[in-house]
Amino acid sequence: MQILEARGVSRYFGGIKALEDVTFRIPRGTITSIIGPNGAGKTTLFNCLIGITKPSKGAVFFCGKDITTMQPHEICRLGIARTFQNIRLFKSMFVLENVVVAQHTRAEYSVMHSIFSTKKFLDTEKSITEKSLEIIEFAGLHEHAHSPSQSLSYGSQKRLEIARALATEPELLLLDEPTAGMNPSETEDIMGLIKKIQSLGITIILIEHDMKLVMNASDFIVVLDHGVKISEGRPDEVCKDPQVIEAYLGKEVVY
Amino acid sequence: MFFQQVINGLTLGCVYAIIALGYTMVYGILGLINFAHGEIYMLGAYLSIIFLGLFTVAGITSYSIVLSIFLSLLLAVIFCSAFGYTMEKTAYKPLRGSSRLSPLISAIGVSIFLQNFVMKTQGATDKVFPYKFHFASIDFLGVSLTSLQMLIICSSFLLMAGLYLFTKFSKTGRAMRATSQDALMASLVGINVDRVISVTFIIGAGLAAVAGMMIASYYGVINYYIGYIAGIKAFTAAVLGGIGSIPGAMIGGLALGLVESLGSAYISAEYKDAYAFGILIIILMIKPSGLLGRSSDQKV
Repeated sequence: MQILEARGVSRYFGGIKALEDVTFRIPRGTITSIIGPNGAGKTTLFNCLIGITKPSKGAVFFCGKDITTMQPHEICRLGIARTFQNIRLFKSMFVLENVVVAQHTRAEYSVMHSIFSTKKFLDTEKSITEKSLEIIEFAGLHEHAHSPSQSLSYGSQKRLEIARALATEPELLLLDEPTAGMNPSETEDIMGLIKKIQSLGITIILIEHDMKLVMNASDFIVVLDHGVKISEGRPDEVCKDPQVIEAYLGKEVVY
Repeated sequence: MFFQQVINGLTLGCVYAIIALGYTMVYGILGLINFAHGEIYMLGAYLSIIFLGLFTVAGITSYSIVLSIFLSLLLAVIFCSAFGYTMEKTAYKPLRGSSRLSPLISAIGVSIFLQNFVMKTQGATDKVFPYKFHFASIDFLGVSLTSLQMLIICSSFLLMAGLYLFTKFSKTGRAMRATSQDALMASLVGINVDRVISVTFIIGAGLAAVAGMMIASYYGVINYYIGYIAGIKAFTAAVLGGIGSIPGAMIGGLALGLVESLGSAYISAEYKDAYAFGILIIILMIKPSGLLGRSSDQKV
């Protein structure tokens, strides 16, 4: 059962082919890694999946629904969330607020309710706060719930980004280099968190450079190089693929 | 005399603060200085006089002055909010994504259009606010606080507190703050950024309409040109407090009103406008981010 399908997704920036005819399917409940050398088009692919950039050609289907031309907030409401490679928290907000704001779309009260502080407003706010605290605890940040988000350590800020993405109640979570810049023990922690998220039934797509993590964690791997999908499959298949080895290490020269 | 000037300055400062809120909110979210904002305030002043006139003809005024004033305020707010919404959709939204200068020029265009439209339709001469609020005044040690001043100060503080609580605790307010910090990220957590921008313009224009009615009733006379100078003053207030910061706009507005009124009383009334801009220059030299502007991402 596929949760996401990219059909011939291409994205051109002027004459540059950032993505060329990329097709893949993501089965529900799995962890898929997208790997490839720098500039392979991984982040552009994420942007196309989530509606930040529109593909020049091709289509993206989420749960069988064509989401190619949808706005990012509509895609988010359907159930795809993402984090960025560099931290993009709402800096002047507290940790709890960062998560609460992501629950925003699930809150069903109108402006009028909030102006007159009706029971519905208060009840919804209360349940959102409770739920957000649960998510914060899930991400291992319960000690920091009421701290300013900027005061967190780098690793914790990354966790908070994941917590915020989870607060939108996604079915599919896109993580763009969640362990970039982390030491081995922090990487281990994030890996544990990702596994925990998977156990909730959330499908995960990772962009990752840490090969150990990729090989251990992923069910499937998609390899991009220069905007083209050069290989895909299970980790053990992919790392034996001569094309992948070539992309990463270069061609063997025969004298 | 000092305390009298403080009261006068506070009244004027409240009006500046309320206009400044509109500037600061729009800047916080779009990074756009909405030069047409002063004109919306002028429109609010005109509309309140027009509606009051209509209610007088309809006989509601003779039934209850308070009711007709309240109704005309409400209608002015609704009209101005609708105008703010339409202005954003027609003059700014199509230019989103182009260079920062384009919407700015569009804003100046809207401003010129509105000024001239009002001048053409309402005439270039002064309009008189038909009622004097003079129910009572409190005299204390030679200081008099009129009922109108009291009304302006109290309602301004209520509006400011309301807006502050709204941005702090409601879901739309949180969405506004999130959008002002990172619009793309906000859309990725499911916030409809277009809607947030519309709400911002609606609230800002509504507040400007309130300020317009306040000034019309306070000075008793308005013309099509009041939006220009009030707009620039309120913009100064917003910059003074730290543009993008809501509490900053409130403090900046109050400070500006006080400086103006004390300056004209003790130094010279001739230089009334110079004090405001003099303060602005000093603040920009000492603390360019404004009184409350902490860093560039501290908006709304």
